Amino acid sequence: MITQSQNIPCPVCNTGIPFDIKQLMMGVHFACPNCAASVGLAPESKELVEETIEKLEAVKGRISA
Amino acid sequence: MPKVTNQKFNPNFSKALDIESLISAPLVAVSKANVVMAQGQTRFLLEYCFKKNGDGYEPILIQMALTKPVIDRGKVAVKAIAASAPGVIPVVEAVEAAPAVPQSIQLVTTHFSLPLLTIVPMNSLVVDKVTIDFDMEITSVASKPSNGTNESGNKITDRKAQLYGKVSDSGSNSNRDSKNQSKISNKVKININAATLPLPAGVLTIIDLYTKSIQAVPTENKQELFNN
Ligand SMILES: [Zn+2]
Repeated sequence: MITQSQNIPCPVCNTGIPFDIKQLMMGVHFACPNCAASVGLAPESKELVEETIEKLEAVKGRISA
Repeated sequence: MPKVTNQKFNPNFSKALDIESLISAPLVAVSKANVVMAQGQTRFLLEYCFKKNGDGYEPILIQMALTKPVIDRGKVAVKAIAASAPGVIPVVEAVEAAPAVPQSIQLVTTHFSLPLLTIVPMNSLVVDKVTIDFDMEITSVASKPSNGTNESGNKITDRKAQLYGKVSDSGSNSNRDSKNQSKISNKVKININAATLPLPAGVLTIIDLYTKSIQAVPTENKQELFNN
């Protein structure tokens, strides 16, 4: 499982928005802790991100095997 | 695809080895594993987060949605303005009526591009934590000469103790009788801890560079740039 805390800088105020990649892929929007903005993955990129994360998991599995 | 080689740690438990090799062997194995991970990270970045464009690489972009509440000021009800002569500005009297369109908050969604590598958890491709516990039975102690020079450049010869031992089973020692007491005293408990290494500086710089480019630039600034 990939569980590492990550941040995207808010495009409005540059504050780090903590997000979880699994939830991001499920369509969850993450709110900026400083302003009222929230960011989420656009539906058209969902497939690409899912494929990349699958590949990352596969590489991880192969390395730690 | 990253080529992965499995590094197996197979110490010879029956043979007495010097204590330094016994402790350093697993650490060397961890270090080698970290190298494999770092190579894996780099290959992964180049293969899945960038696309080749001529001689260079360009990042693969994903679309993100930014949602922000915006206050819609509404529309004020205005009294009918009497037609005036051309070129004369009509005078509008103060209005004390309810607004025609009330003030409201609307959610505005904007799309922006983000390099894929900024959301990929690359740091999950590292050796997380290594804890190695074993008991060691000291079989012999040898002393070896150690030569060195001190601050004033004088040659010093002293002797260093070198311990030799075997990895012993760490089964429970609770039922040991007094005959075995001497054996217990020969045992050394070894506990090795190695924690996560941060991402390589190069990978961090690339991610940081692309992450910083997310910050939107207000259009006024763009105008200033053109004016100057
Ligand atoms: Zn913000």
